[in-house]
Amino acid sequence: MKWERAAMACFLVLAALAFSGCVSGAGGKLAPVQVCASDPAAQLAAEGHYLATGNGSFLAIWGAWQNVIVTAVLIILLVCGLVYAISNAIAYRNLTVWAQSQMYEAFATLVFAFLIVGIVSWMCGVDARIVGATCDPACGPNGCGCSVFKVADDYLSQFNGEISKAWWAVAMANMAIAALSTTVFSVGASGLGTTIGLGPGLSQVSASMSSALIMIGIAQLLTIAQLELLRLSAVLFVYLLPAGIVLRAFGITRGFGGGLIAIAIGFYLIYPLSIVFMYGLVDSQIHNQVGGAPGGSDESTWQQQASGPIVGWMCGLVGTILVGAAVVPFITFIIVVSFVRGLSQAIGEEVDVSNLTRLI
Amino acid sequence: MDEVAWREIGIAMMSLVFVLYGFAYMIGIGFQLPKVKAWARNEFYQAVVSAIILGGMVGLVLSINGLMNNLIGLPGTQTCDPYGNCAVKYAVDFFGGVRGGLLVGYSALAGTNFGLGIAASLRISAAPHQTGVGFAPTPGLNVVCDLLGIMMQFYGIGIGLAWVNTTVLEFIGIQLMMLFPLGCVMRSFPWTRGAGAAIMALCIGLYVVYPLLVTLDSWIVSNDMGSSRLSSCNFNPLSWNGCLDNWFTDLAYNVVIVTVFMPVFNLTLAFGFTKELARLLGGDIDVSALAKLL
Repeated sequence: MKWERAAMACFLVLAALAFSGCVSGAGGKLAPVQVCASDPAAQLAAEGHYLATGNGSFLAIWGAWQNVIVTAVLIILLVCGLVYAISNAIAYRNLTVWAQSQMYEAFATLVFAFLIVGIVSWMCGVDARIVGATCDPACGPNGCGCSVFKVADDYLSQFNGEISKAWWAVAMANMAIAALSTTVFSVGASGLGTTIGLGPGLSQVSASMSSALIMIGIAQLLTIAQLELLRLSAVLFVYLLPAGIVLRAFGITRGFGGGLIAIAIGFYLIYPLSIVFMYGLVDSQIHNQVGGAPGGSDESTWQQQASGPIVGWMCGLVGTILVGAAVVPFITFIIVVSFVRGLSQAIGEEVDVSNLTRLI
Repeated sequence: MDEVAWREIGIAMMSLVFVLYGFAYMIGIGFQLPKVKAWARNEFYQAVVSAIILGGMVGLVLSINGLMNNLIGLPGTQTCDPYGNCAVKYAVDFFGGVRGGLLVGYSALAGTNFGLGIAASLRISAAPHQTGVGFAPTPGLNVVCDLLGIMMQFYGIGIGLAWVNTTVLEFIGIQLMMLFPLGCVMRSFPWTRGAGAAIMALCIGLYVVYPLLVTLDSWIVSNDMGSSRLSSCNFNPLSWNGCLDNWFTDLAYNVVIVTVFMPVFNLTLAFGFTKELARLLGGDIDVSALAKLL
């Protein structure tokens, strides 16, 4: 039985190392895995990107923490080994069993850390186009290549851009219609006579557009919040994952550490994946709708159109925007929350992050 | 209330518990009651554990203060008055800064809204001798004013939530820890051990873990978006699209992320820690009722 366990542990370690390709003995330390290292650091730094190098950056923290993880686990193994040796020498059975179980857990934690590092490195290298994502591998403001993280960022940025275009388009149309609705014709001497409003019927159209504008504005706010959350999850990952791994290595904080690991993985890996799967369709649909506005994409000609087509187009546009800004995030959050709850239950203490779903 | 009162009160109360168990032990010896003697000895050990946790908490807070002072260099004393915990003080200051930033955003929007409101009321008439045509060219700006008004409401909500966070942290830093000695004492008695462990875990989770998580947030926020993005707005209409984007981004980050998402996230983690620690200390706490408040 012991041999089976040992063989399984060795297999997991080898699999993790092969999976990641991240471990090299550089001066007795693990070489830091550069998450999405294909991003040119100088370019990122120049653009103030969150992956840029420097104090407090993703790469700097991530690199430093990997060494912390390994050091912490090695210290635990060393201390437990000493305890094990002493307890064997004084024949204190309970202490021996305790030290043994702690060593197993510390080892399991180390294997887990390698696996996560490997998965992160692997995901950075995977081209998201193999799952149907549309992506330009050329270097842009969000980096180079077509990693899941970059595609997710691109998708949300594109969606945000389309919402912005839609907002200005509707605002311009509304300006014209609202101006027309206030036109009056007056006949009469001072203080006496008749005044006729030429476009009061358009005020309802303008009111509809006003409501649409407010909804589009709120949708843009939610989308930008998602974009910021996506970026934040990368930063949270480099703090929470190492802290979780270190805490999981200790007996008394094992459950909490497992919970932190689950949250870090859920937000850093599952959240962008969900966005990639969900937003491809929404992006193309909204792009077509913004481009397919009555009168073409030139908003200045819209005032010549009858209000009917504009309102019809606007309702479709608002519907699509709300799907992208409210329904899709809700689904992605459910996926993330379910994953976090399941994983945290499996490797530690169940963390109820369903409160975060209520934020939607 | 003195910020270190919980330490003195805790030491005094635990001393009293030791004396009580000492008396019980003496009675067990004096009246030759071995069961009482054994009970007193066992419970004395539990009281020792509670006292060790109390001492550990004092040491932990001192360590946090040293760490925070070394890392951040807080102004003031090493004890970070009036909270006695530099992480709490730093977290309170952080939310103070957030409030200031949100107020700046609110003021910028209010000024813009004022200008747009005047522009929206513009009316052009071509009616000499009261005969002719008139129209308002810019009533469409009213909806922009409405949108800015909604954004101002969001900023207001953000300011309110930042105040809520500040107040919660102040409550945790000054008031909540007064329960900690009570928890230590309750944990020392077998009838109230579960409740005592729950109180101790709640105090440690909220007094140690939560402020440290807020401190972590403050580092993330300062690295991620330390400077306000509102400064790029100007009177050039060509820049207005970017300006609106900047406002939305500022609003989404500072209100939705910093004052809503991060505190909920932090409290979720703190409650998770509390639940596990309570179990470790010999009790169980159902934090789901507290979590519903979020």
